[in-house]
Amino acid sequence: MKSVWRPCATLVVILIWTTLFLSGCYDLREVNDMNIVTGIGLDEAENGMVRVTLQLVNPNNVPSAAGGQGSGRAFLTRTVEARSVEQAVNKFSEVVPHFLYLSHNTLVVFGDAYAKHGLSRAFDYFERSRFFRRNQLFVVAQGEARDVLAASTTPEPLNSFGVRFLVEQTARRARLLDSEQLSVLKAYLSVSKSPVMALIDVRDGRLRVAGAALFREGTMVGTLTPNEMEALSLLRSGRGEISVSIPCPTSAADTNTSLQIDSWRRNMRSSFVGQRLHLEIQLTVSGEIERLCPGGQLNKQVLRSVQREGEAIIQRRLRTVIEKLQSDGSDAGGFGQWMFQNHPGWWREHGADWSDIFQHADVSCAVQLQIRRAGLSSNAPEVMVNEVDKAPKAGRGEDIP
Amino acid sequence: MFHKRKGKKMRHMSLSLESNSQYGSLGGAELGPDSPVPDTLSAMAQSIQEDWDRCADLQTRIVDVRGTKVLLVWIRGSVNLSRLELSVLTPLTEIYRERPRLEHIQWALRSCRLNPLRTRREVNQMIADGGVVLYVDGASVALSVDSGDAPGRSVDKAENEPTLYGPQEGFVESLDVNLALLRKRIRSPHLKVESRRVGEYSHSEVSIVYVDNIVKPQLVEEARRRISGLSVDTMSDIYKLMELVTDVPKTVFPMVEETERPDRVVGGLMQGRIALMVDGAPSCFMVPVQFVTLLASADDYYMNFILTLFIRLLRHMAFWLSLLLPSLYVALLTYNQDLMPTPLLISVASQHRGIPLPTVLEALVMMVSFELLREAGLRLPRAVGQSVSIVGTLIIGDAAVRAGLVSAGMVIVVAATGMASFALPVYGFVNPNRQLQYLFVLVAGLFGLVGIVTLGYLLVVHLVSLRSFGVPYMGPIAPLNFHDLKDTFVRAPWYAMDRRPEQMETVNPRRGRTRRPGPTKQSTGENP
Amino acid sequence: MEKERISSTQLVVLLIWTTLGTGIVTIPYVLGLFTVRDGWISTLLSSAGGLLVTAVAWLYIRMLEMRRLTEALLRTFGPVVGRALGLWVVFWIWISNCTVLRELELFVGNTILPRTPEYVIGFLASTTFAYAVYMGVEVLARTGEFILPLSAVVGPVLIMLSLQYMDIHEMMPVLADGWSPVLRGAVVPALAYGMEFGIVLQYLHAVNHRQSVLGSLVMSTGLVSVVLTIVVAITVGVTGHSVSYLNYPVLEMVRTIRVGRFLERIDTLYVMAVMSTIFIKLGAFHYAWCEGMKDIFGLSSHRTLAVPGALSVWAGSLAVFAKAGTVEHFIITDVPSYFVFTVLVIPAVTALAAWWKQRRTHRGAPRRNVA
Repeated sequence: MKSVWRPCATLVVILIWTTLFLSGCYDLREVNDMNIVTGIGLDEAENGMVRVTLQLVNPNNVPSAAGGQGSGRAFLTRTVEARSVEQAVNKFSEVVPHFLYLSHNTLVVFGDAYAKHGLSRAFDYFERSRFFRRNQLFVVAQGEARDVLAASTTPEPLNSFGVRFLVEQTARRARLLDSEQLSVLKAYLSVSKSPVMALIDVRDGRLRVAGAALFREGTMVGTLTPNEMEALSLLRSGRGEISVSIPCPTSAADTNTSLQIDSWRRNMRSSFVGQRLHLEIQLTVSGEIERLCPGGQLNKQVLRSVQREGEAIIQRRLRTVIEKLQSDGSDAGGFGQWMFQNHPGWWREHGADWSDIFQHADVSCAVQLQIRRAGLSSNAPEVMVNEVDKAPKAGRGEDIP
Repeated sequence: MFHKRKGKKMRHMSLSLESNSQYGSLGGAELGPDSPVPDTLSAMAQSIQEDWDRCADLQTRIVDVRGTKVLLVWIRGSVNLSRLELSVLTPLTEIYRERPRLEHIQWALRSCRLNPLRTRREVNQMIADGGVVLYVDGASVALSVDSGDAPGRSVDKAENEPTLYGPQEGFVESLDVNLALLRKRIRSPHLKVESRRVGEYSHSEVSIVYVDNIVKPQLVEEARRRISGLSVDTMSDIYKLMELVTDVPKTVFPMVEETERPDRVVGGLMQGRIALMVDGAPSCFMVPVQFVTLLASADDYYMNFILTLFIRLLRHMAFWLSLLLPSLYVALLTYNQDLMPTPLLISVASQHRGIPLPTVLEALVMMVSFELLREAGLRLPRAVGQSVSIVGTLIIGDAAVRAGLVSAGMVIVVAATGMASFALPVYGFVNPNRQLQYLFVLVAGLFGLVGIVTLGYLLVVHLVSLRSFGVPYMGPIAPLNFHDLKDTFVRAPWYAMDRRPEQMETVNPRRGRTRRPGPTKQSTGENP
Repeated sequence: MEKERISSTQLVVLLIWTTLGTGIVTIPYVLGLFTVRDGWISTLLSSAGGLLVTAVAWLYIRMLEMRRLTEALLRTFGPVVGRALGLWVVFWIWISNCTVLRELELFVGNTILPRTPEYVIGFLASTTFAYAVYMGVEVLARTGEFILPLSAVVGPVLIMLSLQYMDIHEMMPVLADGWSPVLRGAVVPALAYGMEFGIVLQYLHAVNHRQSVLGSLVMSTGLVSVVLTIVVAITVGVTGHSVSYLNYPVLEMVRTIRVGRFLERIDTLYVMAVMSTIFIKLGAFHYAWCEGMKDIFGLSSHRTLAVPGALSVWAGSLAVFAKAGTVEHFIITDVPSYFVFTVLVIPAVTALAAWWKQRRTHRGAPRRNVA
């Protein structure tokens, strides 16, 4: 009897257990039924409402190697207003057929009105949700986020990828700081509390990096132009491609000496004059010559003067941006973080008043420039243009290089 | 004289006792009564007629050799008649003594191998084996004349395990030839062959082959024990034997290493393993076996050892791919879309627009049709098989995609899975993987990657719990044995593989003492 | 059937998974509650827990040889008291396993299967460890060995990929808040996760060599604390102060990874890797539980309870820790003292009692050196 009983009992037990799973496939999501969200925009609307714009991929119109080039655009945008972000996102199920798939979101755009009222309210949603990854890009729109998400980014068919490309390649030139959610939150949670995000502008339906938005504790307090951003980048050690141009003595158009800065290191010292904080920044930058003034010859004197002038120009640009930061009350240069890391004892006593102390601090910069390379030529071609029938100057004994 | 005969008889008794024990518990009852050979020719002829009643292919012939009647019995077709003529009939006619007795006939036939047969069962066995039984009227023993020539093919290329390099010979359906192929490669008396008859009707010869100063004695003992416990009616191939001597019957994975290549067997014997061979089977199998051995091909040992690394890794990958690829695809498409790069997800989504089936079903349909195609191609004659594969490829590959029944991605995945399974060197892995695929696809459809990992874990637990003749199946990986890792993912150069696998617990662990090759000091011209 | 044995390598692997399985998920979270910048010091200090267990194990093995804890309790304290203490130990294993399973359910449910009921996830996990334990301790240990290289590849790759986001300055200034938060943070890793090494006392009968037990303990303690320190340091370096509010900081570290446009959102892989190691951990505890029950109730084999026991753990995980946060609360507040009593005090007392018993029986007789 046992031989019959055992398989039967096993079968019954298995059947009972399977009933537990009968409703199965709880998390099943077919790709055909999903709207892939690649960008989210948050805008301030009237009556304390928030306007959420989602950018959805239209897969059949995305050009691919298989030739899936359709007629329409590769993406579409939909907008919904609600009391809060999550309510708006949930409301999309009433507006768009197919469910939203948020995991592939790569871009979050905040309208500047929204940013000026503070972003901190949105942070928890983006941090808590299991769909969003911290590597998504946070940017601020000059105007409405909706317009940024709808703009064309040809040749990149998908807008959000286009924006990311723009921001990333600008950041590689040090004209922007990295503004992924991770770095924004790190900066937000550091003692400096001053995140910086990319600022995007729409003109005639096309996108442009307009600079950066400065924040203090999650509220947008000002903007910086890309040129000012270069200077801000110099205030943190790093690498990039910063162009410094020194005007030529002959002030004709399109003539100057250009340097390309590729790496720099910042050192700081702090001291107190009475109650006033004195910060001494020492910046060591190195770069190469991108262009010389017409007729420029690369000899010792010229090199030295280019170096001196370059140092002075960088110093001026640093001073301008520091003054701007101080007036906006944003510590985007990470001075507070530096003070905390190097003088934790002092910080424990005075850290609470940091933004006040920083605004009145006396910041001085010293720049040391090293020109490491001179590109592929030594002298400018104009040096030879009138003397091609003669031997070069050194050959004539007139000039020792 | 009497004394001598008695000695002979004694030896014979012991021989027949031994042969009795070979027949297993039933004692060979199917061969007829075990009574002594009758002592007259008519009684002998009658007893054979009784036992071989209604056997149209039995040939009996009575020859009168100068007054003594001699009975010859054989089975048509399994005896080489010209050889019989030459070695038996001609010498018999050349006997000039009147009424020759058994001894005289034996003398006349001295060039043949003659064996005395004392019982009816022995007689019947000899007839069944394809020998010629010769009975001289009035004698108390019959003689067997070895002029059997059972039909069979000659040694040919190993069809199922082709290699590019190395010897190409494969086993044939004759045990004697197969053993000779082994002897050709191991010319040492230490190569032992222990044979037993298994099968009440087939009386097939099953041989345990091993090298006695390498192999662990307990392993041979275990094999003997397992084979002597067998009680079956026929044993016509190794597959039945495989199932009957395995450690774990309830597993889909091959628990023995089947091969038709003598060189592979030699390699196995040198690792301290044993080979089991069955007469009539064109292949044999080796035990104990480990998972990693099954992913090694004979080519690995003939190729450069550095290049082998990549190919072995590829095969290990192929194993897991052939098991998991469709299920991973299903999981990625229906549960874990996060893992896909966005451009890929978009392209997959555009491919999937308008496909009527859910991805799981799509996968199952494609997998079943692939299997059908394969099965059809396998069973059909070769000429038709090719056209089946062409039609099938057209239908599955192109038309189904164009008709919007399945997505192109699914076709690629199923085809790639098929490719991966064909890359496995041992056919025994192909079918388990093919069929476990379905389970994996089902759990992927239920829980996505979580399901796959759970089922995969259960599979790993199952794999590590297996043992083949006492040796852990997952070989040097789990339990870990650093020394044995030399011949797993990598194939160490021969000079480094100077020891046999430790897990085989060989009596003689050293393979050799060859030094690392390179120019010696003399040859480079340096003074010693 | 010959007795099942595991080697010292296998024991080390088993012990590593036993602590690291859920440790890697929960310890950074627990540390984040106390200290962020100095979390890595806490994990280094937490090796004290494993060393304490090693000390007790040394004493225990000296007095009680290679007997399982439950077996030794019965021998030393007799059927009544011994059984009661044995039940306490077995209950400790059971509740620990419930905690682990609950953590797994929460982790998987929270991250990749949000709509799948937790009981289903729990059931899937239960099948794995029921099967592994049913197959015996050797199979369990080999499974651990098999998983090890897989995780040893996935783990470092994930860590390397996230190194690009690491900022060492997130850990500066060192010890800015003094030692107090660091020590508080070290309590749970040392006394909850470190004590889990105590499970080794239920495995003594299966270990190959007596000498290897203590070595294995020290080795696994060292490895675990090194791995944890690296992981915590990188997590803090990558995610910064978010560690203090994130439930799964290491997961967040993996979620950060983005290499070009093709390699991102690979946290699912991390969840899978963690899941498979937690399966081992569940199996390790469950085997200890089955062996304990076998001793206490005189069962013929540990297999008897492999499946029913797994079901009871499954039910227990859902019944005992139903609400959000109960597991964490239990781990942070109750577990340290509970585990210390069970893993340190009970074996130590047993060893002392055995020593006392031995002395009493040998009183008068010439002193025998107890080796």
